[in-house]
Amino acid sequence: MSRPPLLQSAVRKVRRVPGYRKIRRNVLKRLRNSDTARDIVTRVFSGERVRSGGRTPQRFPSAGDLLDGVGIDTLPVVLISLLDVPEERIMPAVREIARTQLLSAAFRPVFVMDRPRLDTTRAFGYAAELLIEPERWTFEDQSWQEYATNRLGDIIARYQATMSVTISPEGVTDGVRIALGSMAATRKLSRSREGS
Amino acid sequence: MSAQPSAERGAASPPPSPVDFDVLIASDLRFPGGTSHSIGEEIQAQQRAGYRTALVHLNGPLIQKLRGVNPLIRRLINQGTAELLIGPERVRAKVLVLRHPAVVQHALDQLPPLEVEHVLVVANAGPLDIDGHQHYDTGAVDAAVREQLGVEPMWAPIGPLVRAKIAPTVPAERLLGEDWVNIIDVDAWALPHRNWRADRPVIGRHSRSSPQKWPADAATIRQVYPEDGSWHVRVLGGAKPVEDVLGQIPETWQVQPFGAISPREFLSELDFFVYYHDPRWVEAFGRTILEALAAGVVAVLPPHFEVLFGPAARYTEPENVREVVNALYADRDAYVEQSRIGSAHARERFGYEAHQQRLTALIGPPSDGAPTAQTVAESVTPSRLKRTIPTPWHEGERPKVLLMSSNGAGMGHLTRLLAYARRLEPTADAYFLSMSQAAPVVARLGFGYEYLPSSGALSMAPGMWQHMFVDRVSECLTRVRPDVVVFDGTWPYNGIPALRKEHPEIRWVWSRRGMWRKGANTEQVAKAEWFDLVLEPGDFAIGVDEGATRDAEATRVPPVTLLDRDDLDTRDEAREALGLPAQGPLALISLGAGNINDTADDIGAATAALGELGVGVCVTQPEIAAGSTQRTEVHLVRAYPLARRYSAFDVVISAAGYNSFQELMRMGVPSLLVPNAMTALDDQVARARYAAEHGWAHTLDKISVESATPLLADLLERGTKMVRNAQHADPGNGAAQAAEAILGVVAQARRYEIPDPAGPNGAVTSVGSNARGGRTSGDVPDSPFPTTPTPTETTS
Repeated sequence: MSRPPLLQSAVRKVRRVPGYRKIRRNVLKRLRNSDTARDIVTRVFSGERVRSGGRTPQRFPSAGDLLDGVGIDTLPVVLISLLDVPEERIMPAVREIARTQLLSAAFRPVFVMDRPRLDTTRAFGYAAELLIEPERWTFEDQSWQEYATNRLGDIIARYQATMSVTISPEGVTDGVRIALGSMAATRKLSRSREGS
Repeated sequence: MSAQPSAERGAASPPPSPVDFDVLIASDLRFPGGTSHSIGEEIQAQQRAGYRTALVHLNGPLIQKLRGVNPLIRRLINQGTAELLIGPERVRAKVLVLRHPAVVQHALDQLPPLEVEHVLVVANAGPLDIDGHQHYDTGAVDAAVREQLGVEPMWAPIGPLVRAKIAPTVPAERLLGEDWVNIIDVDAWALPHRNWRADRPVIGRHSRSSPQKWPADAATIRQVYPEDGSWHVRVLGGAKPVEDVLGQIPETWQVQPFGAISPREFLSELDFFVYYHDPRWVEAFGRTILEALAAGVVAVLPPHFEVLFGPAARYTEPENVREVVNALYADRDAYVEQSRIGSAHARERFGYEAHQQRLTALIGPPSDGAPTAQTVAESVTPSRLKRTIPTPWHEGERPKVLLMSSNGAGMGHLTRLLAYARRLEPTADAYFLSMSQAAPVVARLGFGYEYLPSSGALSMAPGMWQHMFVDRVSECLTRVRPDVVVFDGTWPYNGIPALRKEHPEIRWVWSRRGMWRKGANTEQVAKAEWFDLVLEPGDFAIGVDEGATRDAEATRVPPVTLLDRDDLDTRDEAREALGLPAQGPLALISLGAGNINDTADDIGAATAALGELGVGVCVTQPEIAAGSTQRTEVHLVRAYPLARRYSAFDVVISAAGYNSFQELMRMGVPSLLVPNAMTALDDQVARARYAAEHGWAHTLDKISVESATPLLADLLERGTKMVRNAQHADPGNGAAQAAEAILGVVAQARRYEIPDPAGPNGAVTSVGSNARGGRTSGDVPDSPFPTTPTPTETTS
């Protein structure tokens, strides 16, 4: 999209003002890092209803500690199910997902596990939900399957996950890698559509 | 259901085997241009020579927008040419190459724990931008590396221009004699010799489209890149700065955006690579120039490049570019010879072989049989805990108590609730709902639990999280059907009234320790109205409590600890259980309120002080600690509850959080207290000072070797006698009384009497509607406590 000539001329003149680059660098950096500014922009342009009692949750869920940069809040959320994965295979799986995320910068993972290995996701700053272990289920009025089904549904809705992948007890498979890799292509496509 | 406080989740473990690499490169791997390409080239050159390379990504300050790892580096990682390291595990490498000082200055703390023999800071740009903006400060970078890695780095400018910029501020003995020039795979770039590409010279340039990459004025642009059509002018990378200067991009030019075609394909269309930029800017290297030289395209450049590229290119001022190009275009032999010289020079000075030679000079030949990556997390000694499956909820008619802990910064809330749970048995069943990621520890002690992520753990706005809190807790209450919920925290969640409304049959108890900072959190006190009982665990230092709860109504019990003095191991048992040496003095350093702040400096100073006294050092790895800082010179102690093993240590250097403090005093451990002044509410400073003033312990606000050594020496000599005074003042563990108070609330809710666990003939305990009462001046012999009233009224 080309700018009108007058606007082009004005932009050119502004860019030649001494110190323009410095001012731009500092102002943009502050705006980008300002929760208030982001909140205002989101409220004005997104049209989303803001819940009472809190700010619009732009940064939920966290993308973790590996990525950084403007746009991190808009990455699609992927639910990574680690249900049934043995405890000793959880860290390798989380590590592989982390590696994939760092390479692609294309998604925010939310992990769901039923083995108490929150340390694995905490190491990367990822959001994680821990379900009650099936072996510890002692509630007679409800089956564990029903509980897990309801909880997964709650998580998908609450975190607004756009995709979910299931890690097999053997670990991360090629199918999971392909699915997660596809998020990068999806983002590229949506960016090009926004630009056209 | 049985609670076994002796159960541990681990013991002292030897430092794990580190990971071995020849070269560890740390930088911002997202850079789209030359930096990443240089890293990619070095990775490939190293692999060809047999060196093993690892990469660590640092989120630096120069990339603002979200982007993934550079595609070239990504490809090399996926091919297995280099290993991308993530996570906090310790890494060992012969050399750490830190590329881009600005990244180093701002992101060095993102490095994992390292053991490296050499550190090389590759300066690929000068400190200043053209507008005077300072991207990095050599002194700050140098200091950061020395401080964090304990190694004096060598500085490696990528060319003479950067060398001139940094030399005045870098110690001369640590400035590499040879520039760490960027390298290139000359064979991969070489193009077959062909004739001229057109009937007139085809010149071109490849660069990012930033103003500094282009001449700043119209006259120079026109001199170097004619717009009259006399030459073909081709640009890869966009020409927006030209548009800003000339008003438009000349129609005779052919401009393609960055990445439209491969650089090699672009070069194959050129006769001359003509590159001029803003004269105020220092083009540190000019990778695209090197690519042109390797491809055999003759480069025409400003004279300042001559010190870097020597005879490989032709140099002239902008006004003479036309003359130089036309002369070579008129003399094909001269052109071919210049092309050959350029290509040969690129190979000799910038080829893979040159890189392999400088690397060998620095670290020797490649390692043989470097071990594969081994994660420290996986190598930690497995838990020796024997799991216990809790008794099912629905068996029998025992009261059910749901113990709810807020997330907090450490293990305090959970530990206090565990103390209650242990005393609630066998009268009641205890079940945990915790917002602490350390929640799984309660299962290891035999209790059922579930985890609810806190707003902080999810980065969720508090207002939104309150909805989640209500939904999840309500579901839990429906399923668990407790008689009473005991909330331990200093900030009751706003969703609690809604939960009470939804589940009116359930009673609520607020377990709220005192010693809040003076004037802090006062508005929370009124939330007592939400609860049927406010329970305040006492404190050895309660005499100096000046917080908002001091005069608030509560049922107060003596200090609460998970363990009693009788639970303490003997010295031999404790050392054996922790895997520590049986002989010799040992100290424990336990400064972590989890991951609340960085105590690395304190730990280092404490370690040094203890070393001077000939005392072995043990360091705790808190259950909730986010990362791991393994240090090879100390014993890493992982155990919960650790208090049982306190007799293993001759002295403990500890923070002054509620649980640690009460346990140390009760168990009679000589202590140097280092209060964490950064906690939001807990007045650790007052607690530590109180203990010091009463001669129970020593305290320091900040540890230094000089200040800590005499105090530790004193504690080693007479610390046991000092802390005995605190033990004399101990009114006993308040956990049992707290459990009684909780059961009293249950009794009121159920309107029946709870059998005394002592037996069918025992007393029956019940309490009134709300057992609150202000602090009274009860007397405990030799006790500094102003009050220790009986918390519950007993009727029979």
